[in-house]
Amino acid sequence: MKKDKIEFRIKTDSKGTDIHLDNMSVEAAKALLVLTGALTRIAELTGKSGDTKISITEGSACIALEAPPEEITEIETEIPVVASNKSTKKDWVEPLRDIQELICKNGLTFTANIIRDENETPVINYFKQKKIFKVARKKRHKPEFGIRFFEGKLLENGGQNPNIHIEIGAETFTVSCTEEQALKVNAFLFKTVRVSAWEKKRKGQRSSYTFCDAYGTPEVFNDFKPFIEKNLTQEGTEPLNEIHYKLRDLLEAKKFAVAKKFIRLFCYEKVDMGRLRAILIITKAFKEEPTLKDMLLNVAEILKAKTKKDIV
Amino acid sequence: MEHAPLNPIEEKLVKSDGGGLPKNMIAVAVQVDADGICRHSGLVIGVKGKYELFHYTGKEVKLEPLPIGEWYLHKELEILNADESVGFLHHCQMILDSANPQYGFVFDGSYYNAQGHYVSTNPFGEYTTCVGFCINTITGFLFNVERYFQVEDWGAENLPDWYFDAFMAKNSHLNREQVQPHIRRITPAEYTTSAYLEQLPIRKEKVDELIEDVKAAIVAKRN
Repeated sequence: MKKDKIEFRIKTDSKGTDIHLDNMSVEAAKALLVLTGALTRIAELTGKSGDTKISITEGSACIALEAPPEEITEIETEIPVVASNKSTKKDWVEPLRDIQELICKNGLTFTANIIRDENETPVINYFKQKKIFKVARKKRHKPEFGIRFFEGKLLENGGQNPNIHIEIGAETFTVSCTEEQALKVNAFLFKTVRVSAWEKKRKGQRSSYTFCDAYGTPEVFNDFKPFIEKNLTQEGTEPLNEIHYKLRDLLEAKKFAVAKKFIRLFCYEKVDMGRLRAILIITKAFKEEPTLKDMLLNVAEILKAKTKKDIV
Repeated sequence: MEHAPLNPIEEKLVKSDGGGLPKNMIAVAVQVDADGICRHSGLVIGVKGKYELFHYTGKEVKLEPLPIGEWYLHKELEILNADESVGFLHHCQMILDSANPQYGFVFDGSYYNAQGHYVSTNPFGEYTTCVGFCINTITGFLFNVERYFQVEDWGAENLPDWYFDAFMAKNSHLNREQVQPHIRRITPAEYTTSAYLEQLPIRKEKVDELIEDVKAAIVAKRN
């Protein structure tokens, strides 16, 4: 199999004397150990093929990592990312930082090259930068959409553009809604109302809210609120897993009305495709269930609009 | 030297470890030997630039980082949006936890539901091939359509005559009459071809229209 390599050479020591493997100063031997350690760690990161080799050869003191081209490409890609302090991968930053600290020290001189078909690409300058390589902080996950749960006093209701006003402590929140929804919550005027709303965040302004659902009793509200608040901060497949089990429990218990209220929270154009499809496939066996049928069709329509494909 | 432009089928068939993949993707994958023959099938799922292979090796179900240097080619599924990949990965994770297939050329319209459980109208259990496993996985991710493949379009003609007797000898607790109608073969090349089609369920006549071009593209990409 064809192999490319990344190669480091220790050329001269601090006295300017050429380095040879059979006659190394202590500082050169230490440097060789650092390079061997760092390249071994990198080989563990990329060496999926099992065909990665590390060699130490004469010609100054030369240490090389030889691997299939894809793996060398991976290393070549990671080096500038780490050098620009944008990498969030600790496993990569640490060995490359060891090399950087070694190269930046006064004394020994080095070369560092990626070698492909005898073409050498120098990478030494990445390691010569004085700013020490750091692991970039992962950006906090921001959900694409927000759902806010309000529990407070319903102040007034209606208007030309229908909305409801909810007083919570010293703050009043306005939630836009349809006339039908306004009428529905009107029974709670000057009483405690529990409402969920989709949140639209606006730069430099207060968020705006669109009515999603109202909850007559605290049980469902108190169940959904912490679930959603946690779910919207989760990443990867975790939020889908939680939605899956939540819905499965409701369906198995035949709590279709509660399941419908749960699904309604996600009937919104900003909800991501992952959550929408997760809802559809877990409810597939219940798509003809009268309580759920229309709500699931809504979810499918939203998913269709987002995927720009017919929902198979 | 300038390369001749790739035909659309070849263009969409991608070497899985060649880099430059879209961050999100859901693709059917085949492992191809040096002669350009498809030997194994799986699914490649990319989520935010992380790529995994989901497959049934014939012994076990695996969800693993995309192997390097093992000659997987893939074609993204036309029927799903690539940005649904995180949901698809979740579906695979559910199946990984539940599936327990045994090897056999049985295609009976079964599938893995959203809970990852094997669902079949037949009583004789979870027998499948690497291709069947992928078909059953995709089927469980569908909402409006019941089947990914119309398996009844396929027969046992691509299997050797002795196959059924050998299968029954190995699985003597099964009922011959129950099993025989479901013994079929859908090849990895046919499975790969399905990814080019948008109309579900996948019908054999549609696969037959494309398969020679797909096989030629596989050979071209392997060389």
